[in-house]
Parts: sequence; structure tokens; C-alpha cells
Amino acid sequence: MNWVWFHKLASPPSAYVFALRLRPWLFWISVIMMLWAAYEGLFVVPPDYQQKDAFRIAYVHIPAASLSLMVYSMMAIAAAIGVIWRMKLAHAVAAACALPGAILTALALITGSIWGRPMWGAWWAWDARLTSELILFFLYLGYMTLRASFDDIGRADRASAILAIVGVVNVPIVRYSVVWWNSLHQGQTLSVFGESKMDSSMITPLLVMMLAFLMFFGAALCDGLRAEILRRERNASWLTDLKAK
Amino acid sequence: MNAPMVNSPDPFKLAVVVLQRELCLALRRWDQVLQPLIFFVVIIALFPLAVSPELSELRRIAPGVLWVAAMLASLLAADALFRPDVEDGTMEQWVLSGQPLPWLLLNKTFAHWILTGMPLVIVMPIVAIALGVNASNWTSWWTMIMSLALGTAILTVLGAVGAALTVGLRRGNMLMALVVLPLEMPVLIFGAQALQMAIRNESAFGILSLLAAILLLSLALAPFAMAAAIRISIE
Amino acid sequence: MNYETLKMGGYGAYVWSSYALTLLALFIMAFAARRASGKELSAAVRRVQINSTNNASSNATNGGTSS
Repeated sequence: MNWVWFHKLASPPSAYVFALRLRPWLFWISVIMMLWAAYEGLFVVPPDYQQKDAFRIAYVHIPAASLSLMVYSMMAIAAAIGVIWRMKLAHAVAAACALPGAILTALALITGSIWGRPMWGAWWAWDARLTSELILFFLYLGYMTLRASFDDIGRADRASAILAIVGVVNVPIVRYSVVWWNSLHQGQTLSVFGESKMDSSMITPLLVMMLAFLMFFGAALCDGLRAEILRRERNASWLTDLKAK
Repeated sequence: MNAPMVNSPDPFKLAVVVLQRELCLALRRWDQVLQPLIFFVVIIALFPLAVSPELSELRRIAPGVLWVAAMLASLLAADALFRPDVEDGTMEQWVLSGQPLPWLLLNKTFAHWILTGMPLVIVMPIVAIALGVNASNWTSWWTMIMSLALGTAILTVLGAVGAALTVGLRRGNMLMALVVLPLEMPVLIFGAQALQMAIRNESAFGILSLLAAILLLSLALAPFAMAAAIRISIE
Repeated sequence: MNYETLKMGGYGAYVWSSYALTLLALFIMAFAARRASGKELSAAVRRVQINSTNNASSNATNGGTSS
């Protein structure tokens, strides 16, 4: 078979190859880091003096919650780049962000609610942080349904990009809700600049877990991005010799 | 449009033209203008039936009921904002006219608010009394009216963005609700809070300012989102 | 590691279920992306093969048609 004309396409193939090569690294390193951090968080770190062992949920809840916001910002930025510079690849990144982001948001909500049950005595509270995170989840869902309802992928890209950009106002609301409102949700425990309210022996596993989540998301993004690139490169075909690799 | 603007008229004249057209059209289809209003009142009438006819009970939930009804009514109305103009090709002419599309759409949205938002604000005190709200002084009424006026304006602008996004889709109505409602939730929270405070005779100035700030922000940014969305939708 | 460690001072059910759900969510995340890329890839390969056989038979110069 003649595969020569597969090499005609320019930039998306290189992104494709990059994602393909990057993925296993991200994936396996993040798995190793996660295992270590989960072990530390579950068995090594001493129980919190107030929350006892329930505090260990933080090691999955905080990474999921912070990443859910980060992913949305990333999606909005990618969407904006896609709209402004008419860059197909940026739209592909935004599209690939949506599902992992929604899953992370759902995870943050669920683990938060499991954590809230023993701490607050309720599965759910309609407080600012929780509600805004729920709104974030609905934004992800709205983004995905809007995207899915266009037949033409170019129009889907641009229409959903507008929604992603408009929805970005929710990100600071979630981020600072514990600061702005008197919230049932506890305040910020981690801070990159300045003093954190946690002991460093507790913090290291948390930071490792956050990084691991980020890398795991990166791995999922690599796969999702490849799918989106393929979807956008319908009529051309540098792919089959990639398959041989 | 990248085309240079030739004979660009005064933006205010342009606004007047758009407003005149919208209001004139609305007068000819006045039944459609009444629909959101009737919907609003009907939704509110459902609550005494479903919850309890006790005025004390209704008084407690009145702010939320009023706000949810206003939100649903504005959502229902928003679908008709661009659809007729996109279907009969008017919107295409607007896009091709070389006039600033965000400005045209903003004025259209303003006309839409006059037609669908303002009636709700006017009817609201009557409905509120029917729900057992008895605000004691004029300041409370004024606060309630202001909160609903600011709130419906924000809802109209956000709804317009959603309508512009989904107008090209055959069955965009439900989708628009999915897309727009999450964005409108903060407005619901603050609006209902303002009403609550007004009923309790507290000063809601802070929340009203916040609503005004949200309105200004959305007025500044939403027209560009609308214009971009309309360009995608009519393509 | 004994039974007491697993009980987590009475919070075991909460802690373990949230870790299990996290595992599940991460799995879904990775799997969904993996499956999407796999599906698109096989669809693309199929398209390419159809195009190339079409081209071979009709001597067309570009493979612009989609399946």
C-alpha cells in the first residue's frame, strides 16, 4: 500500500506524535507518585488532631477539587486561543479537557460530600464553595452538551469556546468562595506563597498527590487530544504509519 | 466584519433605529410579549397549590419562588430573542451591514428586556402581595423592585448569550436552559437574598450594588460573546 | 497493618470509599480518553485504507473523500 501522501499534514501530526510519546511517561510516573502519596496519606501521616483519620480524605479531595478548577481555566484559555488565533489544535485541547474536568469535578463533589458527612453531619450543605463547585460541574456538562449538539466540528469548537470563556467567571467565585463568604467549608489550608496551615509532614504527600493528579490528567489529555486531532483531520492521513510504531 | 465601515451612522441613532424596530415588531405580536408574563404568574400560582395555601408558609419561600419564576420566564422568552430574525434572514443582513454587531445586539437585548423583563418587575409587587409578602415601608418595596429589575436585566443579557449560541440548532431550547442556568445561578442567589432582606426590612444595599456590578460586567462583555455566537450560528 | 489501621478510628468507611471512588474516577478518566483515541484511530485507519484503494483504482491524485 502507498502511504507516502500521509506526510502532507503539518502541525497536528507533530502534536499527535508528541502526545503519543508523552503519555506513557506521564501516566506511569503519576501512578507511582499516586501510590506513594496514597500510602503516606493513608498509613504514615499521623491523624489530624481535630478531624482524626477522616482528614485522610483530603489527599484525594483537594487534588481533585483544585485540578477541576485548573482544568476549567485551561479549557477556557485554550478555547480563547482557538477563537482568537483560529488554532485548530487549541480547540482540540479545549475539547479534550471537558470530560476529565467533569469527572474531576464530580469526584471533588463526591469525596467532599463523603468527607462532610462525618465532619458536618450532613452529606451536602448549600454553602458557597459547594454550590459554586456544583455550578462548575453543570458548566462542564453544558459545555459538553453544547459541543455535542453541533454536527460541524468547526462550529462546535467556536460555539463551545464562547461558552467556556463566559463560564470562566465562575472560577474565581469557586476559588475565593471560602474567603468571601462565611462558609461551612474550611478555609484554605494550602498556600504556595507564605505559610501553609498544615504540617510539612502532612503537606508533602498532598503536594505529591496534586502533582500526580495533574500528570494523570495530562496523560488522559494526551489520549483525548489524539482523539480530537483525529476527529479534526478527517480527510488526511498521516496516521497509519503511526500505527506501525 | 473586517470591511471598513462606510457611512457609519451615529451609534445613538443606530440604537434608536434598532429599538424602534424591536418595539414596533413587538406591538404587532403583542401576544408573544404577554407570554412570559403570563408564564411568570402561572408558575407562581403553582406554588400555593403545591406547597401550601398558608400565607405564613408562602411568605417564607416567596423570594425564592419569585426568583425561580422570573428566571424560567426569562429563559423561555430568550429563545424567541434571535430565532425569528435568524430564520427570516434579518440577522444575516445585520451581520453583513458593516455596523457594529455587538452594539446592535445589545440594543436588541435591551428592547427585549423592556418587553419581557420590565413587565415582570411591574407585576412583581402584586404577585408578592398575593404570596403574603407585606413589606412595611417604601424602601423595602423599592429594594425589591430594584433587585428584580437588576436581576432580570442580567438574566436577559445572559439568556441572550445562550440564545445566540443555540439559535443555529434545530432543537436548541432545552440545551439553552442547560447552558444558561449554571451561569445564572449566582444571580439567583444574590437576587433572592436581596428580596429576603427587603422583606425582613434590612438594608440590601450591598447586594444591590453587587447585582449592579454583575450587570455592568455582563453588559460590557456579553455583547461581544453574542456577536461571535451569532456569527457562528448564521454561518 | 492490622484491622485497627483499616478501621481508621471509625472513619474507615468514609476514607476507604472515597479512595475507592477516586480510583474509579481516575480509571474512567484514563479509560474514556484511551477508548476515544482508539476508536478515532481505527476509524481513521479504515478511512485511509478505503481512500487509498479508491485512489489506486481510479488514479485520483488526492485522497480528499471521506468514507
